[in-house]
Amino acid sequence: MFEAKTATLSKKRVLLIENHPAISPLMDIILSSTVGAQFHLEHATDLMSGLERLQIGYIDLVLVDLSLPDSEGRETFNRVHELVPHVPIIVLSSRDDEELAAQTVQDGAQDYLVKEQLDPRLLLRSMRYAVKRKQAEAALSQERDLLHTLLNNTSDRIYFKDLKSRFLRLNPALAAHFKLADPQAAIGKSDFDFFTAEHAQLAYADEQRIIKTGEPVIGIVEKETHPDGRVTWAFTSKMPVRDKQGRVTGTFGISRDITEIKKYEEQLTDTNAQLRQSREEVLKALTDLKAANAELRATQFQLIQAAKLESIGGFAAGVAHEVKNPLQTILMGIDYLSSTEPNETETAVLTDMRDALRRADSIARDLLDFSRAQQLEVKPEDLNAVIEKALGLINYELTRCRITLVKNLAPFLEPVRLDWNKMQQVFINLFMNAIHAMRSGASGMLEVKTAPGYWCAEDSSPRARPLQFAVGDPIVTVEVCDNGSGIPEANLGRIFDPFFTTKPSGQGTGLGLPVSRSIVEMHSGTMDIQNRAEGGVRVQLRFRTEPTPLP
Amino acid sequence: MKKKILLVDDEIGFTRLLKLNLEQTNQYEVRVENWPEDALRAAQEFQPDAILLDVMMPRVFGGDIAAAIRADPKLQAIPIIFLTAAVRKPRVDEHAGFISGFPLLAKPASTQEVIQALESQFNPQQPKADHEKETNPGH
Repeated sequence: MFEAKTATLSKKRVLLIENHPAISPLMDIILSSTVGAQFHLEHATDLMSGLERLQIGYIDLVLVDLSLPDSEGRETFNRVHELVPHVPIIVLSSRDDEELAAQTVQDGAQDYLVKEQLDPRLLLRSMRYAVKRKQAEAALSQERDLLHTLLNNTSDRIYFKDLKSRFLRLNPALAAHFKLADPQAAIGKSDFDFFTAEHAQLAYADEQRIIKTGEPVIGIVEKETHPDGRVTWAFTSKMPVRDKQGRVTGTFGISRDITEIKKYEEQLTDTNAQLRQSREEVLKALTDLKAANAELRATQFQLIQAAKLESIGGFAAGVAHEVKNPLQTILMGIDYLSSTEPNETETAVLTDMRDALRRADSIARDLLDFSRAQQLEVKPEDLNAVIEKALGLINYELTRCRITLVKNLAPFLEPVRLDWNKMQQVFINLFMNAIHAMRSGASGMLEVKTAPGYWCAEDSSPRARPLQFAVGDPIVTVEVCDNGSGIPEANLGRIFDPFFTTKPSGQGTGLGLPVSRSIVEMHSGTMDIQNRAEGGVRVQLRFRTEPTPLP
Repeated sequence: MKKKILLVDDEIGFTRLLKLNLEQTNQYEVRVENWPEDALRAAQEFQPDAILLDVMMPRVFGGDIAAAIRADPKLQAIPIIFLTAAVRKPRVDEHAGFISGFPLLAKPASTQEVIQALESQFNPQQPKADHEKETNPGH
């Protein structure tokens, strides 16, 4: 049945299925004479034997006559095409059924030739083109299959849109994202049909810009907001689609769902923020700890001072008592001798003795004050009045030393709960210290100020932070300033030490400042002493004031 | 007639000199008792017009002696004046010269101050001549 001609592997195998004995030798001649090197012809005389041969394979081209003994018309073509859809088919027909043959081209035939008009060159060209065209088609369909495989199976969402951002095509992943069973349902719709305007608007703007400029958008992160309230995140690239002339005809894009990644990212951000907060808390705790430590040091300093004063206080009371008894005996002796009509010299001696006795007595008295500073009798008093009274008592000294007094007492001070006598003792002590410091100077000036205010932490000297006040407490500040010799730096740390004095012997016991400060602190006040930049000393006293009850 | 004064103090030098100073005014007869334990008996024997009593003495507290004297019906009317080295003068003045109802003299006290204190007991209508010296009017 099969006529096998000499052939090489490179030759295309052609199966001719036709029942007209006259045509076959002709074709054989044509083929062998012109392109014998390219084609090897086999022949079947009816459809059944032709199909049997095709099932074996290795046929590169089929020439089939529509009119065969066992088949007629389009049916003949269809049966061959069904069996070997990938093999190009050229239909041979008679002039009578040319119209029918033309229809087979639409069904998939590569060409049709009318046998009565068969021209060897035409036949040859048709056969060559049929093979090539079929090869190109196969390659194309393979490519299309690959593309389909990709589109249908990738989890990335892929779409094509027209110039108005309407979907032309979308893959199942995107359809699933839209909760559509069939991707076709989205064709002709746009993002506005599937997302809220918030996202659709942005996406639309991106796409229109791509269409206008031809510039792609690569790797942007999109927040997608859905009508049902869902929020998803996508990593998206969008590009223009161009026709062969390079004109932009639409856009296409590919998106990857990164909602999960975004979630982890947010968790990471949260964790980072928590870490940062923890770090800040630790740092703050450290700062607090440092502040507490500084406060403890200040307190410790105050406690040491207090302990010094206290131990000396008990000692002082004992000393005072033991000194006063002998003083009493001496005084009695002086009294006795004074009554025995002494001469002038003896009288002078007795006067000196009386003076010495008074000095000794005043020291003993200071010692007793010091040990007794614990007992206060406080009443709400006008601090200005206490100061005025104390100034009155030292007025003689001021005049004698030619010291100018500058008074700046704030009117209408709120009362301070204080022990009048003790507080007066404090002021007299401060004033006398100032006067002593200015004795040698030319133009001495004693300045006394009172000012109401509220406690704020900056007011405290770092060495002795007052624990008496809370921020915002109503206070009154008293300042006693002189322009005298000031306190040598080396002595600043010792001025509150009991018995520390720089005054000549007999002029001070070294108890004035410790006693004064101890009295002030028992009034829940503070005393700070500094050298003034302009020379001299500034003493600052602060007391809590009592609001005057409303009438 | 001289007033009889009992002076109770352990400071022998002081008692001798005060006795001298008081007696040379010719106004007073002074008996000294340096042993505080014997103070009550001395008062019973001497029957003084006033007692000058030291507060801080060895072994015996002046306050206890005062209490014993007040407890004796024959002695309880006798004025007692405390003498003490443990109190400073202004503090005595703050209490108008009295502590627990007793007048008080701070050591060292001059002879003149002792005499004034005694006389204010004998003539209560003109008490404490210049006790206002170191205090503040109105306080």
